[in-house]
Amino acid sequence: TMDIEDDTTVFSTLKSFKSFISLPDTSRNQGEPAPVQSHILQNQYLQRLQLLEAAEKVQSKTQLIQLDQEKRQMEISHKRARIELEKNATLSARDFEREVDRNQDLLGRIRRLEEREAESSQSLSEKAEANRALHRTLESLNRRVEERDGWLNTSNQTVSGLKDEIRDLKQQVQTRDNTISNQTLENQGLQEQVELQHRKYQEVSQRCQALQLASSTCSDHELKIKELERKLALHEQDVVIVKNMRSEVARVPDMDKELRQLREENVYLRETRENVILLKEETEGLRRKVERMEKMKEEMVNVELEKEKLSQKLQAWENLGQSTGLNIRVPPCPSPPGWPPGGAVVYILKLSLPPSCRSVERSKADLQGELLSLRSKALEEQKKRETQESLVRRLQKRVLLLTKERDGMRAILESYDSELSSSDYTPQLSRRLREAEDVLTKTQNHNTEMEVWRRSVCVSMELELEVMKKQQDSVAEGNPLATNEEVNTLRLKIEELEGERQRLEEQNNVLELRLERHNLQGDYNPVKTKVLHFSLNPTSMAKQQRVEEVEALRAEVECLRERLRSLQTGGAVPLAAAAGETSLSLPPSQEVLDLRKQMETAELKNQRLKEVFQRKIQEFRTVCYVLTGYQIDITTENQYRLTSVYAEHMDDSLLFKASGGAVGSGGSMQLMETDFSRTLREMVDLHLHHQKSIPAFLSAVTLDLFSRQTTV
Amino acid sequence: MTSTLKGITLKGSAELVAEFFSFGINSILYQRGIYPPETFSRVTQYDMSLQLTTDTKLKSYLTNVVSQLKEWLFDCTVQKLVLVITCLETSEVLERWQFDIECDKSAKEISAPREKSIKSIQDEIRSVIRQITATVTFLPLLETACAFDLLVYTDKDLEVPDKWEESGPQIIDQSEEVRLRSFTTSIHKVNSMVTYKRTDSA
Repeated sequence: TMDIEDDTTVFSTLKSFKSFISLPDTSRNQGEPAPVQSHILQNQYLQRLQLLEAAEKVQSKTQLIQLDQEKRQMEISHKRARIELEKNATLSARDFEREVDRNQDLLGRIRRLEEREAESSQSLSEKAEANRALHRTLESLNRRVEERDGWLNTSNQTVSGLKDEIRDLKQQVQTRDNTISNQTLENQGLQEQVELQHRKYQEVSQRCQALQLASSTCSDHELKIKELERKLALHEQDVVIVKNMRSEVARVPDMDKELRQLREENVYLRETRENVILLKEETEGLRRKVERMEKMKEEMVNVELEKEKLSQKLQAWENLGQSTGLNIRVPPCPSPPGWPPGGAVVYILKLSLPPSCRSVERSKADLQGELLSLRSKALEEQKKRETQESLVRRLQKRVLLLTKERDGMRAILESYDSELSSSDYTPQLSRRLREAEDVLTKTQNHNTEMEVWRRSVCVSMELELEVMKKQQDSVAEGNPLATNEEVNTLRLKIEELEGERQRLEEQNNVLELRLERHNLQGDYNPVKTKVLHFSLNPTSMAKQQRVEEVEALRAEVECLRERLRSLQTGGAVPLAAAAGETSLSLPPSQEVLDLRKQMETAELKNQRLKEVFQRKIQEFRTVCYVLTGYQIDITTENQYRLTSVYAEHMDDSLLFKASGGAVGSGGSMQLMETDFSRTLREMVDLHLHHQKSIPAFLSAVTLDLFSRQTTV
Repeated sequence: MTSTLKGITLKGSAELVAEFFSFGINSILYQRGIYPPETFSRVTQYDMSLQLTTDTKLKSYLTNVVSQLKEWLFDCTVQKLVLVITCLETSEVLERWQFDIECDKSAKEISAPREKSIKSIQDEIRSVIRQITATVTFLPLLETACAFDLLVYTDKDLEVPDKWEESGPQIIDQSEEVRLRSFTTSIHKVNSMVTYKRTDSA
């Protein structure tokens, strides 16, 4: 302690010294920046320095004195200490001897204990070895277990794989079976179809053969038919020819009659022609007369003109007479009644004219009358001539036709004669003639009938036209009863139709409005239009997001509820739950999985070790019991109850209490008072109090009890 | 492209109509609040300021649909385009914006451009979009979360392209219909109408 104190004083003096040194530096630093006031300051400073130096010296001196004092004190103390030490040394030497004795005792004990220790260590080592062996076995077992697990897993996987394969193969087998069955069915169906087709083919071939036979027979028939048709045509031609022949033959007697008539007419016409020629001559003569008369007329006209001129001259002369005053008057001839005035002159002139004119005029008038009559006659004659000429032409035509017919008939007859050379054909001819006549009559009747029919049709048409006209007139005039009814019905119909039309118009308007409304609302015709939209459209994406959010929220809510429940039940659990189960946090990472595995393995190890320790402890305790004869139970902390093997009663037990901590760290064991221990007072006194040996006591107790047991 | 030419060709008309649909759909989505207004940006088109979405997913969806629609407009096989607004909670259809397209098929054979000025077409389109904006005043509020979908009515014999599928017409029962303005490019005529679910208070 003195050294320590010295050190501290040295340190303190060093510190004070350093601080003292530092002070003048600071004072120096403070003095430098003011050179103006430096003299005073310097003096102060120097004073201070001197003072300081003096102080230092004083201090050092005091320190020295102190140190000397301390040194003397230390020497004194040192001496004292030496004395004490010597005392102590002597004491310690005595103690040492004692201790040596004790040491020897202890050494003996130690040797014994060491032996025991060695034994126990051996046992421990053995047990440790056993433990290790057990550990190894455990580990090997674990490894085997793991290997087996692995084998099991692999085998399970192989089993599952094989099962899958089996399933696949079974499915394949099934599908193949199905396909085979389908194909067999198809095969059967196809075979049946083939049979059907064969039968059909046979039938068809039979039909073909029949058809061929029938076609051949048909062709033969057709040839026959053609031949017969040709024969028929020839027959028909013959029939037609025969008919024509009959008709023409029937015409023959009429034609003879007509011939006679025509001849008579011819004769008559020739006679008339001669008359006509005569008449023509007469007409020519009359014409010449007419020409002469015309000439005469012209002369007459000229004469009249001259007469007019003369009359004008007369008038002029009269005028002259009037103008000149001469009364040259012509005695006014009394004009015959009816004559124009002044016509007397003319009359005179006329009278003065040669009477030849009158005669000429008379002759002219006569001739004119004759002319007229002759002209009319001539016209009549001409008409007659024309009609006769037309008749003649017609008759000539008829004659030509008849001659042609006759020639034809003759030719046919000659042909018939040439054909039918040997046979007696007159009856045939007569028959044919009759037939021809009949045909002729028939055609003529037909003709007449047709004409009659035509006329009747015309008449009927005209009648109908007249009737229609009458009807029209009647309608135009107005048949009031019939038309009024019709008009009323028509008006009613019109009104009904108009009403319907209005209704339909209204319906149309309503429908159009509805259509417009539907179009506004977005309706469409599915036949013509369809509605498309983009697959990734905002509505669908928003809906998806919503659904996902809702699900996430639900999951969160459930997790929070679980946490709440766990928190309500216990505090330690949620940690494990939070550690073990992940609710909304990230999925368990590999570290967590590894740690979990490690934890599981550690727990397993713990469990196994516990089991092993339990077993070992049990074993040890039983061994102790068996070997020592005492069952040692720990009742409470540091209290041990011993029960002997040979105890007479179950409750006979010894209680030992360990004081001063646990047994291993130097504390002592004390016997507690029990009922049983009271009975063993002697042994307690001997072994525990005197010998102070608990094992001896215990062994004595066992021997005592054993002796009691065996004797009793 | 079409502004430099004097007349309207079938291809130009199809492009104009597709462009109108693109801007019109964006306007409807903005006005009806299907997507939050901060996801829209202002652009100028048809001499008026319109809102266009900046959401990339929505943009790509719209470009897909509009480009396919352009093809069909060129082929004259599309009859209607419908924007359907559905309530997400109840999966009910709340609104239907329907655009009927009438195509003059003679333009397919005769390739000569038609006389109609682009300006007049744009004026008509502007009035249609203004009317769409104005209809918001009488349409019922969309209080619940909604999503939209685009349906196309086409000819029955049309080949369905990839990523498209058939769907129902999604008609609203108990609806009120309002017919809006129409515009025509002389080849395509577009009639607009809106149908909304009748609210019980009315």
